[in-house]
Amino acid sequence: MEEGCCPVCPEELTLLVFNVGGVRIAVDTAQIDGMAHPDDVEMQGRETLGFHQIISFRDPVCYKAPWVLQVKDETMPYGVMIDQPDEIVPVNLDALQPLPYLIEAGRGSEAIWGAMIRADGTILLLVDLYKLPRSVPAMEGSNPAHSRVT
Amino acid sequence: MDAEKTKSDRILEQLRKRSAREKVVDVEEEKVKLVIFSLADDYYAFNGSEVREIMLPPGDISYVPGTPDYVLGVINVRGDIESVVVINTFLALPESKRTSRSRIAIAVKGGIRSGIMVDSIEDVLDVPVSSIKPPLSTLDAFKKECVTGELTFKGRNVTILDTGKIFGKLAV
Repeated sequence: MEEGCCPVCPEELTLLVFNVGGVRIAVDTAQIDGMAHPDDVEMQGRETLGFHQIISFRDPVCYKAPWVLQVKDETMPYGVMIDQPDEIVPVNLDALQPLPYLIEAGRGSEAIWGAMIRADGTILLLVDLYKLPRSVPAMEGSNPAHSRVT
Repeated sequence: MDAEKTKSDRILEQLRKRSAREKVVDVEEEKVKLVIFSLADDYYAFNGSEVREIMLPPGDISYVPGTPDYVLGVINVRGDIESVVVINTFLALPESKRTSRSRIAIAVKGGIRSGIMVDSIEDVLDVPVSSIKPPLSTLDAFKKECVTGELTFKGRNVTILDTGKIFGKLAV
């Protein structure tokens, strides 16, 4: 990751693109330790939540090909279940856009922090995994590997 | 003969004066541009100066998880990401079905910009300010706050909405 004009901001992000409930989402790969099959994560005993449990969806979410993102966090490593990891792409910061005002005002979770338009015109929502846990009222004792939506 | 000619001349002169007077009235009368649209079989209008664009809804409106029901999602408008909202609930109207006549009006007011889904665009026209009546006193508190006036269009009542007030309510 190259440093940009601001010492904190890079010029480029490497994003992991995936799908949850038909919504295209991208997260910074620097926040991820790796990806694992839900059964393997369960064996490791790592706390795991379905993405839809952290940020509410209007319609029921079905995980057809579930994977767990292992979030890099020294104090409380945890997993987030996603569906259909798509690709890993380097993205220049110029391609990112803040959310429109009314979305930002009513989004419910600060974890969705921006969006970008792909070459094919589709929109990706940018999610900050480090902001996700704040949206969870009770992280402990919840394991989507047991309550997976299929 | 001369007398008749004079008479016709006088009439013609009078007609020209009247026409000129009407033209003066037309020029002087303040007008406002309105975008008239339908929602759940009722007619509404936005101030035309607050509507930047009217577009066909794209096939894909990207849903944003965690947003309230009135937010349909986001769309790509020539490289810019715009929100799309529905205002039926705020106007105590039933939910609308998307049809081939549905349109998105991209409105801007008070620094807030968003697409608003409407059932159809009926017309965009300049109307004399004098033809706009104050809102009905029987409107409920919310509507009274968001309605700036009413007028008659093709024999139907049109409620003129304050885009800024609606955006303000949506942003709370």
